[in-house]
Amino acid sequence: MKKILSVFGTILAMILIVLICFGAYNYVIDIEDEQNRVQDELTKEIDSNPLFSLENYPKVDASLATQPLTDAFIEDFTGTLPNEEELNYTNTHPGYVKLINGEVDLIVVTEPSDEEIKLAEEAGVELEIIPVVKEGFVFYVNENNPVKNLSLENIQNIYTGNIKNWKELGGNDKPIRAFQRPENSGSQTGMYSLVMKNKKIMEAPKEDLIDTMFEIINLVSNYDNGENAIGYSYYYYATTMFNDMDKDIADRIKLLAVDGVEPNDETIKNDTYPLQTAYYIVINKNEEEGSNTRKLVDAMLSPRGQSVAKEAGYVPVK
Amino acid sequence: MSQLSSGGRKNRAQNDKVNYKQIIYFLGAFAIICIIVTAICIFYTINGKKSENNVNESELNTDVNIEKISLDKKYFTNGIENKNVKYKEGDVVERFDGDVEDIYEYEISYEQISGLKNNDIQNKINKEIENEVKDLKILLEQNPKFERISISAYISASFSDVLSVAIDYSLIKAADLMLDEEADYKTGSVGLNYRLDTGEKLQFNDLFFNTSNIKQILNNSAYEAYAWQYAMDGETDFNMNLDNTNYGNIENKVFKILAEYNKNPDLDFYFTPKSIFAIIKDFKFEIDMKKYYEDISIYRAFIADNLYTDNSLKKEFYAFTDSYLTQSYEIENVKGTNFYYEIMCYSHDEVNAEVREKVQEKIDEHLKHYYEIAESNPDKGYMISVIYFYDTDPNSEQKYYQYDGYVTTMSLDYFNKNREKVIANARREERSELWSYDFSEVDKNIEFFEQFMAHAEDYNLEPEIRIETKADRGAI
Repeated sequence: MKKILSVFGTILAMILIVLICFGAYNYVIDIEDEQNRVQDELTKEIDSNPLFSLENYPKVDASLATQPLTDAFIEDFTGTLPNEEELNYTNTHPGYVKLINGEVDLIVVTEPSDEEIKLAEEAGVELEIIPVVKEGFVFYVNENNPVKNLSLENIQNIYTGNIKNWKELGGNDKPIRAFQRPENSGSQTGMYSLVMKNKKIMEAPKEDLIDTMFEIINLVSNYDNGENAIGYSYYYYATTMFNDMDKDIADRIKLLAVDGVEPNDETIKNDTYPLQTAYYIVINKNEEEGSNTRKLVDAMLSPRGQSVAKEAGYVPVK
Repeated sequence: MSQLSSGGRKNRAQNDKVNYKQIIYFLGAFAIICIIVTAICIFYTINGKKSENNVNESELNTDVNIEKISLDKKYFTNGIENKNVKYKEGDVVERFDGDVEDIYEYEISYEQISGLKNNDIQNKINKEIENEVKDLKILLEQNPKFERISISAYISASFSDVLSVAIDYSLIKAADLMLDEEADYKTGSVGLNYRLDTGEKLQFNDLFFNTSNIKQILNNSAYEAYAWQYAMDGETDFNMNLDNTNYGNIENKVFKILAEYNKNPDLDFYFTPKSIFAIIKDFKFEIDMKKYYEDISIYRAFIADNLYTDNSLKKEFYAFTDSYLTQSYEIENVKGTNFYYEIMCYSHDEVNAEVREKVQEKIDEHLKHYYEIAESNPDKGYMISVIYFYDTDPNSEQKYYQYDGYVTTMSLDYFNKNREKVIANARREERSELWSYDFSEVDKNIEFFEQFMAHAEDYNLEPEIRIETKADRGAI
């Protein structure tokens, strides 16, 4: 009798455990659904009515990596997306030049280079620079490179030419091929200000000075001769944008941890990833209060704007 | 009996105790397993992990047997001929005095092929060329501000059993001084590409191997095309060396090209023996086949047997050259083991045979002279390239001719080992069609010997001949 009771009890206990686990599963999923629902509600509550028409929308320009963001803002704030010819983005440096010359009202770009700051000073223009989304500056190597983490100091030493071989960093005995980008490209500016700071970057041989971010990633991912290469870019480009462009190639590179912290949405958002930067709204500081440009800035930084940024795949700054 | 009962009760108690322990352990293990399974289910539900296609594209490579292109090897053109169909429609838009023809609203020309054994395929291709031109005309007519439409469909490549048809169009509006309107024009191209064995259309990706990084080729080629465009437009940050620092505009545009290819890899294109012209969002740019020759499969990808009614129409040529090796004629008794010559003709077809014979006679004299030199220097190799041209002067109806020849020398050993390579490299150099090849310009191991040039105002008169020697060149 006792045996029957113990068996029965065991079965009951098992059923109870299964029910508890099932209940826990549903509870967690419900919480997730609720969070998503709240997010949707928030978005709805944040007024999806157009804030501008295409006619009164300020003239904007953008870096390559911020074009999807700028497109998303236009689409959300006006209810339509103009065609590419009308948008006519030109990229970081030409964007700064156009802003300084008054040809555009607002740009969404990486931080200004020394040359761009100087250009503004010479033109008597004071730039107002406001972070709009967070971004990380990342280094990547071929997936077959055993090195997974570099200290900031080691990265600097690679690019000053003091470290020349991967074996000095715990990798294979292969010379380091350190690609660079041209002057005034957004990622080269980031390299100077975030990484090298007051250290002098070595002059790259012509074949290591790469025109486009796309090409660097291709070269680093190459099976035959990419294993000793290292490149740099911005997190959003190196992950989201490139993944959409060519997932096979994207899968053949890996982002390095810096000072032990891997770059991902979380570490960029919570500021633990050491090479932090942002994409910025840049306007002329003399822009009048209440102007459409100022309204656009406010819209981009509002909960609605930040929600738009998040939807577009960026890390909101607020 | 009580001792037996007491021992029996003690045993039963011990057994019960052991059972509970086991049950607890069992339930504990079961609970842990359930928790793990629950956690996994939660993870996958939240992340919505999809199953991925893990087939590596290279495993699908079906072109392992296609040879890579050899830079020194000769390939064949197709055994087809093409005929031009030309017509004009509409009103006369411009009229000129003299010999120049009137310009009509519509100036249309397209080529039709012949020479394929399979008439169905031939007719299909010809019909599609014709229809494409007609459809394009209807599309372009929707631009009312343009007065003139010109469409020209021509065979841009015909080799290795593939065919490419380039269709160039232009819309033109003349300036109107009365209305103070400026002239305007718009141009563009589309392409039709075929396999001649099946008549199927070629896709852009068919030009490359499966393992080629087509996006990188597009990225680099588009980049270069934009950079040149900026340099030619005189943008201050660009120069003809392309060593500029303002890459911003270009990277932006190139990225859009790649994004478009990503959305639709079946992009518009046509090709020549040395270039692919990709057309994406009305931007046409050139992909230098020779630069990416290890990725180009088109020279060997679709070879078929016995497609043509007349195989003697096939001509040899080196990969990535536009010049087919058309030997205009051969000279009798001028054949040596250390002597190579080529005589090409670039001429107007309608001028008569007498003129041709006269100019050939003159060229023969030169070549026989150099042949004698070669015979008396058997330790050297000689390579001569001649081109001749004859036509009728429209102002006087005199039949004139001219020719130009380069004579170069090298060691006999070098001549024997590298002659084909030298010829191939020379053909790939950018040059005017009206010049012969100076082989010493493409190879440091080859020396310039002499250049001979002649011009005759009329074929009945003696030509003006000029010889430039090595010493003359040194003095310049």
